[in-house]
Amino acid sequence: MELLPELEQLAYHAPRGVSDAFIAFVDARLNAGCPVTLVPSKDTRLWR
Amino acid sequence: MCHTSKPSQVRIQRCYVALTWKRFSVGWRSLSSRASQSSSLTSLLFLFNTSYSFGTQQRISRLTGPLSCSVRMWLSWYPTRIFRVRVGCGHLDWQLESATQIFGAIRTSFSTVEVLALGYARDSISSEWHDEADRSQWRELLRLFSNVKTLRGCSELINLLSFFTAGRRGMANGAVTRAGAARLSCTPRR
Repeated sequence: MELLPELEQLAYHAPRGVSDAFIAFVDARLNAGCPVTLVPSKDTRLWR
Repeated sequence: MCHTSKPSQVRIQRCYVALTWKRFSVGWRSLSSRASQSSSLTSLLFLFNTSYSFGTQQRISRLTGPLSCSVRMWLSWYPTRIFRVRVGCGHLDWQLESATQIFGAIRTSFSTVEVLALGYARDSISSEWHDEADRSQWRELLRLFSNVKTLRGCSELINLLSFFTAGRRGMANGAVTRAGAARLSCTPRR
């Protein structure tokens, strides 16, 4: 199973801090040999 | 041998999928020139007017009888050129299936997408999504975006993606566990 094999960044908007979901996702990718960078985003819009 | 894209093919860089309580929207922005984009959008509209619309109506008819389902497509020119499709249907699993249909119908165009935004406009994710069929739909949708380099999304959806991939045992107290999330497999970069 291969999902998002080229993923490099995970952008998030979390004014109250990073949730466990993002950390778990990043951790999982790291363990799978495909590290991703967690990037904060000030843009609340889905599309820009 | 490396094949270049066909002249009429749109090279799409950004996509979004927005799931809401009563409808979902998808959209994408092209990197192509205005002239070639216009030509390709005509083709895309044709696709949606045939296979996609028919599929939606068929789905509604089979499950619930004569319910209405609206499909709206338009090209916005401001602030950026974005092609949007909005489908009005209340059930979230139908929305997910419809999104998969849309992107699957033009699968080759979305193989170039580098930025994928997932949105969900509701206070909490419905438990009705937590079954095997829906996990398969999520996987099917994500497989279409094999070249995505940046993923944008709210914590609920990121959590949900981990959950659908990892299974029920992967989630604890609203967040995926390390063991469960680790099943988010991928091919290590060389």
